[in-house]
Amino acid sequence: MPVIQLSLKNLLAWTKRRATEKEILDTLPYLGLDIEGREGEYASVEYSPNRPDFSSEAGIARALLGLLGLESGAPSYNFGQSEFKIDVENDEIRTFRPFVSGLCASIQVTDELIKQLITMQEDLTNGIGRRRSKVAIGIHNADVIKPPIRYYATKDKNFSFVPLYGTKAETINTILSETVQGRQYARLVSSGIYPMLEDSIRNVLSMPPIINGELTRLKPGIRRLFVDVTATEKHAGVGATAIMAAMLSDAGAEVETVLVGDSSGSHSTPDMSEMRMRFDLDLTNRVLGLNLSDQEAKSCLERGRLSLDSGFAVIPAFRMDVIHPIDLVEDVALGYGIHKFAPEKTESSLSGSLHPRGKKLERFIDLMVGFGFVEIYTLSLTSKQVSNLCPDQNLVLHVEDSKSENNEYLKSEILPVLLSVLGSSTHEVYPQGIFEQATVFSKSEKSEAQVLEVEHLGAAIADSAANFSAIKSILEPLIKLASGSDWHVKFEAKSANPEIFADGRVASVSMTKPNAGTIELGLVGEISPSVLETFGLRVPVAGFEIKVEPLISE
Amino acid sequence: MSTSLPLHPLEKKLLVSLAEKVKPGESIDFDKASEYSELSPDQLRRAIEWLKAKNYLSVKEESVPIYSLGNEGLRVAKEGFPERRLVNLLKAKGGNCTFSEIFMAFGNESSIALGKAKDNKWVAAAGHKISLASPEIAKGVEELLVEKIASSGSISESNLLAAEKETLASLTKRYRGLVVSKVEKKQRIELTAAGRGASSTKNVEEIDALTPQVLSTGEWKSKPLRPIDVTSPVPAVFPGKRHPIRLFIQEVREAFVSLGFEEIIGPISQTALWNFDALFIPQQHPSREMQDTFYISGLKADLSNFGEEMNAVSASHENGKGTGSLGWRYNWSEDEASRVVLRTHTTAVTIRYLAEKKPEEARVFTIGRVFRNEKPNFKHSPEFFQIEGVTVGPNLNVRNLIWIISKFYSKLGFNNIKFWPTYFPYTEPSLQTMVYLESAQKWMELGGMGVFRPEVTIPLGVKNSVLAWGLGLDRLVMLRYDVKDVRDLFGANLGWLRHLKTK
Repeated sequence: MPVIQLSLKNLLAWTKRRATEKEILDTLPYLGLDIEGREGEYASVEYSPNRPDFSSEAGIARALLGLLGLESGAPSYNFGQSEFKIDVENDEIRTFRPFVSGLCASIQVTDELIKQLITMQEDLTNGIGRRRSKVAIGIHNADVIKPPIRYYATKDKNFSFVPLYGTKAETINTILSETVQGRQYARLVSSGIYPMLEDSIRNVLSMPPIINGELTRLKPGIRRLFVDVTATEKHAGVGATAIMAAMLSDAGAEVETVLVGDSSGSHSTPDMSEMRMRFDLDLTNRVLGLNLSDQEAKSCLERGRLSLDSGFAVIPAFRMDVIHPIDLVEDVALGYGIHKFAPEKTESSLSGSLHPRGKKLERFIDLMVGFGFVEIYTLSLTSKQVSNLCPDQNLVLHVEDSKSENNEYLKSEILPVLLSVLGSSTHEVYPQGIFEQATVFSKSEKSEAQVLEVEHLGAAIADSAANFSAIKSILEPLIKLASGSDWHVKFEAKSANPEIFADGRVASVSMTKPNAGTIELGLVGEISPSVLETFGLRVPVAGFEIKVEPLISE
Repeated sequence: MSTSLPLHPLEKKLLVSLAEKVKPGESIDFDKASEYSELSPDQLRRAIEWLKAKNYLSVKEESVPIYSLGNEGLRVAKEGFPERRLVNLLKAKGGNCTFSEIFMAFGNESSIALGKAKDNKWVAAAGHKISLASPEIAKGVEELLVEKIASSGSISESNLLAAEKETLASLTKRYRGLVVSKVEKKQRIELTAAGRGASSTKNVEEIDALTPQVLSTGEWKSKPLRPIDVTSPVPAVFPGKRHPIRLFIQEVREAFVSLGFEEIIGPISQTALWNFDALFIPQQHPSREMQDTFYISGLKADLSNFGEEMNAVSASHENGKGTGSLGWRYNWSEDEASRVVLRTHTTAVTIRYLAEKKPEEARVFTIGRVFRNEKPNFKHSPEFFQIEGVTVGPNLNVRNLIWIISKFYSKLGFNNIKFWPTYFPYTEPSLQTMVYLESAQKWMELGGMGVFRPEVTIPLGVKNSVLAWGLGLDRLVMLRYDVKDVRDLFGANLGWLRHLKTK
């Protein structure tokens, strides 16, 4: 979730000191903002990615004023027209990155403003811009630009310009391989089509979505900004432009529109026109469990900086989160105040019940605890070392890009994991007896997700006296007691494959019943000395691994 | 019968043997005690310690000189005293020789050898002629003493006869370095009066342990059972026990059942379709990136059974068709939906239940593992448990949701709880809850909830409102058992589990 730093001093100034610092801090959470930390006059708050209009202090102040009751309704923005124009020039750009918009803003640029604009631009292009793939934003010194501006795409990798913070012209090729931004975003132009924004005397403003030109770099003292927004999806580009325009306007800038045109015509940007959506009072009262009148609902919406006009909610262009009437319900809830919602009892004639499978699994837990074993919970994701001990490597599943080598493989057997637990418990008093009941995973084409999930039970005894008969004397009664009547437990000698067990000391275990056939359950035996060595174990270990599936579905 | 303290068999054996073989007032050393009692040195040491503590034995330490041969003594033991070597020379010469011959053989030692041999009356001198007193000369006391010391390496003074002590004294004077001595501390053991008393009263034979034989022969009827020291430490034994997570899950299940909820279960591995798309989470949403989600390598799910659901879901994403929504406005991809993930939330289970049953009314819950691609540390685990629930009904609202969640937490012992607005792509309104921890005096964030969006319910054919929540479990377990490191919950720490007092 994105985090923004707010100056409480600035927020107090936004409220024109009609609210206290405490009121502000108490209200922020009811806008859905989590206060992460406080340091001096600054508070870091986390905002939800569905509210890109919260990517600036001005945007949060706008909402805060509404909830504090200091301002209400949808703010309206009316901008004059600038002399700037963007011409969309060729077909390549119309298919590759079709949407472009712009705005001009006259404002005294300070270090503080530059910092805020850059942070906001990054949050927007990372969030709704999906790391610039969908939306990119360039902010420029307008005074060095000679409009009209050309928006086009080139395929010429040797085309050159001076990139941001560069000292001489570089080719696109060099910029993509040698600048930080180039390397980070080159994947977005891997098709070999390079969007360009140039002014009328062929100075490069920007190669969106990669990097701006050095010419238009922001510096304190600048008096007029030009902002370009390019996008692959129209609504995202329009929304981002509106958010920038509203922020700059609220921050005191005189914002002017920019014409965007091509051979088929032109339109003015930013497009600040409000969306109108039918407001459903019934839905609102039903979902919230309230009984609000039209007027009450209207005032709640207004506190959320929306307006209500003849049954339609008026939604400013920067409110990109509103896509369904249900979103208006939330605005009413916030305007009403979440803390005012009283719990309302809900009766049900339904009777509760536990899943029968859980009850059956509990039988095994009871028995194992009764035999004196300590229950262990381990992660389903294990290391290569543990996973290598699983018998059928072809069926073992691997997850992509795990952040830890201990969590790369899905466990397909429990016993190897138990050995690793025993290996890290060698300082504990012996005898040690542990068990785990867990879901294990293997590849299977039979299931829709291509994964077979089965319930297993694994147990191990580590002790100077641990041997085959010690573990068999647990497993045999366990199966007898947990399985249905008439089943006979059968042990058969097995060669030591999987290699986890010692040769000559391993048996397969199954249950049989006349007319019902034989059901394989698993393996039991003494762990091979070489495996014990791998886990740093110097005491004998005997263990078993069985499927409990056949026993619980019995 | 005087009251006497319970005796261990070792104690008793020593006590009785000493009372029998050592006169009152006399003390013996360790070796003797071992001989009398027939105890091994180790058993004897233990018996002495115990009896001393009971005041049945007194142990005194005394310093005893120990003698052994010095360098000169070792030479003498090997070559003999000079006077003996003189006797040997004379024997070799047929019984007689001259003084000058002795001088040739003995040099500086000549006068010592001759003088001592004369004193011992082993030789006689006549002018320059020296002759043996008799053909065989028996060993002298000095020679016998040196042999005695040499044969045992060292000898305690207490093992020397009075005459030997005198010989030793004169020898030490005559030969420097013949015998060296050092002082050794030795225990002298003596029965106290109480000990002697206890030995006599304890003469009755006792039963050491109840054995099948003792029981079947009726031996227990005629002999008393030996009392034991009930305060002695014993070896550690650890009980089998359930894991704290299981115990807590059980409580949570009971809380839900008491509120009329039915438990459901579902797979851990899920298709992106059910984990994300069906929940209206757009395909480019950051939570779907590998940074956050575990995708299983090389698998592509078979979605052929979900053609109808997929059509409706893709429409809700692309343009909201049929749901009254604008949708997310992008091109939905079936390929992306067929990736296989380890479920990132248990909502994947409840949404499938809803899609399958399309209930008009329901209360279901599920508790299970969920996964996030996180680097494990004391606070974060890539795998944790989630408590998931939904209720479906014709007129359910946000206030009902607040009621259910409050009721649920109060059943788990948390009465102070508050709600904040938050955001999830699949619920609107969305809330998060915090509970107040009396113990830590702070608020803890525990989970999210909300009302499923129409974009979620309508494509799956669910008509009524659905209240849904996903709450954390691990942090509650950690809180209850004061666990500081989440990794302790997952297997790394057997010692912790063994000593854990389950609550």
